[in-house]
Amino acid sequence: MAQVFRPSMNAVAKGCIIALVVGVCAIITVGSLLDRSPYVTNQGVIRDQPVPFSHEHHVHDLGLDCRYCHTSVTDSNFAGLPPTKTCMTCHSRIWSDAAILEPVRRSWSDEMPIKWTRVHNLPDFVYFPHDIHVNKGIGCVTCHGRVDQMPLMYQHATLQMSWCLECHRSPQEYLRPRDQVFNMNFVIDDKVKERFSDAGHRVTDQDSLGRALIDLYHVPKDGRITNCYTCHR
Amino acid sequence: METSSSQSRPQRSAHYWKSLEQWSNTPEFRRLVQDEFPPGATDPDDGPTRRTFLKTLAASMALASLTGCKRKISETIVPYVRQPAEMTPGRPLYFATSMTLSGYAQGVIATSREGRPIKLDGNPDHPANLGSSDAFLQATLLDLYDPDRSQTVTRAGVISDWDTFVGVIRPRLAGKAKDGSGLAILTETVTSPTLLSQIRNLKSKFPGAVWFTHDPMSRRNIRDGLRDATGREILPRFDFSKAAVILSLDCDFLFDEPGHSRYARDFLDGRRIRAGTERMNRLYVVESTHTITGTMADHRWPMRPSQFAATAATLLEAVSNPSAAQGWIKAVADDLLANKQRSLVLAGANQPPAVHAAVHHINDVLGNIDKTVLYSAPVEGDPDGSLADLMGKMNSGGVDTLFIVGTNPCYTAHVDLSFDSALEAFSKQIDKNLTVRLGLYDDETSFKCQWHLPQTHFLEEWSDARAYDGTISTVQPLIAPLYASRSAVELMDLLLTGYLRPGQEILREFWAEQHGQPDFESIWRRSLEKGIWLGKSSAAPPATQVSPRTSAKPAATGAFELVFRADPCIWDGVYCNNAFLQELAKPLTKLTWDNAALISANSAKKLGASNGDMLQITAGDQSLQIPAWILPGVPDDTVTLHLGYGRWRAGSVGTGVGFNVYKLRTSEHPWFFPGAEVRRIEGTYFLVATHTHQTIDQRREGLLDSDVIQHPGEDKIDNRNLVRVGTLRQFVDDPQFVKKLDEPEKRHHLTLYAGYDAIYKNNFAWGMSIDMQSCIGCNACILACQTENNIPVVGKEQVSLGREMHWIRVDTYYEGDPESPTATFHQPVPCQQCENAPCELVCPVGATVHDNEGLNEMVFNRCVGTRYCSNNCPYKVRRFNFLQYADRTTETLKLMRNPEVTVRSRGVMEKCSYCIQRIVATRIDMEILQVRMDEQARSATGPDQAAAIQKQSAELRQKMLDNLQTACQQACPTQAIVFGNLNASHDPIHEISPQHLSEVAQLKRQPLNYSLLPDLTTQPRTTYLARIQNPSPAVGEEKFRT
Repeated sequence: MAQVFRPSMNAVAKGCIIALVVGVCAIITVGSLLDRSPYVTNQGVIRDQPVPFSHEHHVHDLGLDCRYCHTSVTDSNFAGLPPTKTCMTCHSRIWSDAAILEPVRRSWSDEMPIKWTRVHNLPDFVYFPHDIHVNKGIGCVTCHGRVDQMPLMYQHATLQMSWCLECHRSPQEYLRPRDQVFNMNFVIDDKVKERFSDAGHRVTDQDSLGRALIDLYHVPKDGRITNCYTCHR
Repeated sequence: METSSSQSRPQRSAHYWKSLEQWSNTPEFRRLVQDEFPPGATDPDDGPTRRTFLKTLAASMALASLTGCKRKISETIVPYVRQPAEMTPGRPLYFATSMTLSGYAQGVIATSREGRPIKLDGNPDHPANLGSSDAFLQATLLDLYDPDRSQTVTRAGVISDWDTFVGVIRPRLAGKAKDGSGLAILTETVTSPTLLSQIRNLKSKFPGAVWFTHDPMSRRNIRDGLRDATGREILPRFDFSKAAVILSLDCDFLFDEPGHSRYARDFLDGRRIRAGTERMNRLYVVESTHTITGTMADHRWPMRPSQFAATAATLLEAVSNPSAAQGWIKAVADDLLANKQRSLVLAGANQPPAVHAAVHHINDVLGNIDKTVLYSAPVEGDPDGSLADLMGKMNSGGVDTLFIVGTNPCYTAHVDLSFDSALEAFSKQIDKNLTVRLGLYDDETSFKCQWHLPQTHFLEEWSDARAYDGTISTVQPLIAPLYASRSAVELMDLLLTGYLRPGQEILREFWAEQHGQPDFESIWRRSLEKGIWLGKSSAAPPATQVSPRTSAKPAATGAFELVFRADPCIWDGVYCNNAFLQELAKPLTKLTWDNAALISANSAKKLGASNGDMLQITAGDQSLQIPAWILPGVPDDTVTLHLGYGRWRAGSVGTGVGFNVYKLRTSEHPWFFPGAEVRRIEGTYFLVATHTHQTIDQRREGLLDSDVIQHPGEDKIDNRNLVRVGTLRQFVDDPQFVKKLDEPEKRHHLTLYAGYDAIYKNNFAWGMSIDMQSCIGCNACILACQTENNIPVVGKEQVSLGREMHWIRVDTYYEGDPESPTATFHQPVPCQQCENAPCELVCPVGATVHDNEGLNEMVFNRCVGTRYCSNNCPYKVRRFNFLQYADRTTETLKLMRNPEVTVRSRGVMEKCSYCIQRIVATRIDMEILQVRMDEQARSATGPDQAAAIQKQSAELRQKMLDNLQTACQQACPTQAIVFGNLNASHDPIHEISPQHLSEVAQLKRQPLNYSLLPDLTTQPRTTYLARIQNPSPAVGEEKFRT
């Protein structure tokens, strides 16, 4: 009986083994890249909204404070979404005939809320409280990016757990003074350096400022904020 | 099932036992107790074939890789059009309202999230419960969201609407404008001042109109007895805080008295044992069945119902003439007489009037009246008659328009009245009669009425009611009616005015008139805030003389005596469709999803029946087949039957569940039947109880069979001191006696990693103390946990496999023989939160880990369902989602969920988290307050002001910390559960007063403090306080058997 495999098949077999190893690695690599890609995370993806609301215009051009609309951001785990009434405080007079604002006016007259598309959507087993972050000196920009430069809203960060942990493991890299939380262009200038330098700290850069603020704002240093129950329950 | 009380005992089993199986210690039980779940629990529901196994395997491999690939679906986010001013999205609001049980109010604080009530708790300002709950208060939230509730008006089963109904009713009433004869209203017990005034107005507008009440849990006997004794129309309430010696004659005052939550608190306040305590009250209980009140007794005597009248008379004789008495009665009488004005004798509402009259005289002799026994005019309104009177009128043609409001007589009426068929015949005379039912469900009674009107749940309506002590309690809605329903007050107003007016308007109108002062608006608002009417009100409506009802005195016979009781979970049947209550393991029996004929071990022997065997019970002309269940402590030759089951139109949950005991209940014998015939018949019934589930093995680890053989019956072998009990005398003589039960440490807690001690020192250290002295086994904690933590219901089949999901269970341990247990103890067991947790070591994916505050975290989203953790838990407190138990489809049930707790999926392990969502919320609030006030202090004008701000900050934070309660703790009527921070140096107030210790930290330093299975060195954060009994030396060991 003739040999089923000819000698040349040795090379094919070797090739198959290599291909298998490379293939498995490739699948893992592609899979994990895909998992981190905007295709899955929605990072940077502009979502369709019933009204093309421009944060750039309202924040940068008009200078509205974040809290004008997101009223509960300092007091509740939910930052708050402006009720139609907030829109109508201005838009009953300004641009009161604009076609793109029709959904707002209809909501106001029909007493039916506007249904926005969620941009920042965490899984249901993650609990992110806005109030504690904002009160302990995490700026809006840190997670949401330069909203004042976004004509249409998109998700700035991946919102993946590894991204959360970057800050929960080393908060000093992100903390800022409490009164600078809503500032879109916060920079560490001499005034800040002077203000937060004391006997224990000499503030020169973000890291030293962060360490000073950790002590000032009682941010846990023993890793408590990386406990699972901090965000999951 | 091996019940074998009569069979040979291998050796004496545990000193304290949870089940007859444990007591007899059969090989089957040994196997059960060593396993994580009962046999079969971990098997798939249908045994897989080889083919399905391979198919599943292949499919799981293929699908496993896809789970990570799900793209996030786009979600909408919906703001308000106009946001209510008082609300902050994401923060709960709390409103005071009231719920009623058989007419009597309890204060409720409802937690509202974005307009949905998601949790009910007691109202701390309300005298009826002082902030605590009972099982009904916790579970009734599910009734609001029950998808089976009736949603539309129906006429003869065809969908109609309110306007059509109004169109029918207006001309009907106009025709009655002259004298109103023929108009009849049937309600349950009414205490609502508004409703009572409406009924009065109705009767003056239609002078011929008549009002009847029907309540299967009527308190008529008490009034009849007291009328006989005093000549006055009165009802008693009790002040347990002043009572040193209490004798209950069949009164289950911890469960079925209208003031039970308050009574439980006051009673237990007189029994708390702390270092240095030398006195506590003493409770004697004589009862015709075994109740939770009986489990709290220092001396308990089971007694056949027929003997109570004689016993009460003998006792009266004994307190009047102490020298003549003898036996245990003398001992009790002497104790009562020694505590004149500080004693209390009470009788259950089920006892005949003669017993109540005798009890009044006993209390009179003892000088207890106005001290511990307080009489007042009845809180409930007096109707023109009972259901029997209504039926007389219906038959004689004296009624042609009948409104049935709330009550469900077609199911609950005494069987000899045959109300069901009478109403059917009455309703069928369409040309002559009109029958209308206002009810929460389209149930048995609605089915027999021409019109059914959907009624609002109390969380949807404006109303009021009185509590056991007469406190007027306001009812305000938490949510607009989910369906086209109206309240009883609105229906009555329709009859009065001919218009459908909103309840709020009616209530305001009534109370504005009652108050009659210009400051009504502010009083009204403050009252709603408090849940109690604070303004003026005219006195309670004068009680009218009601014709005394002749009630038969049960005569002793040789046969079995029947005892009818409200079910401890579903009451008289109103909560039959509530799955939370159906699945709740009943106190003592631990039965779920069924009722049974409860008999003693001796009776079982006599009948040749064991658990689940069918019995035929014949009482007079009526008979019923019902399975037997052996409940140690029930008097011999009696059968206890719980009402409320066997309904035929309850809803998808309650219909057809259990056995209808109302079939045996007659007008002559509503509570007891003296001479019933009981015999074992062919067949068994599948009863499901949890008493054998999650049993902690009493046999020590590592014992060899040879040890067991060498020391048969020795306490050491099968007693790990899970339950620690002593007497007051023992405690006074040797306060440390409980600690001495701990074995000299065989093993020490050794660790290579010393890091945690330092971490615990710089964080909160959460801990819990559970006082077995105070636990009355009422189950409120289980349901509070269930609603707080979105715990699903699994159904009877799944419970039978040991798959119930409750995060906290109440283990009931008996002492003594099954024939005559000498005592009963309750032990709530949540996760023990071990510092050195065995579960954590075996999790392959790190889904259960330790945190810096000492909590044993269970991370649902990490869990892959190996169940290793549960297998390694010596306390058996972990629960596994074998199937997709959480309902993900029913819309109304989604509204009920607590948004702060993840809804778990199939294949996920879960367990008590010490209500981590509440801990996190409190901690966040404390930390925010701290940074804000720090900032204020930094900008203060001087160091003095800064220090003052810091002090204020610490005090406020301490208050927040003190207000942090777990759901079970908040619900507990006796404050048996105390949770808090053990770490004094991490208390905010510690900076100001270093001696400060939280309540739980103080309790942990008590001499009675002990932990379960300390020899395992798990170092649980949950510990227990031992139970202390106060037996009377005069009664001693003497046993009284009926």
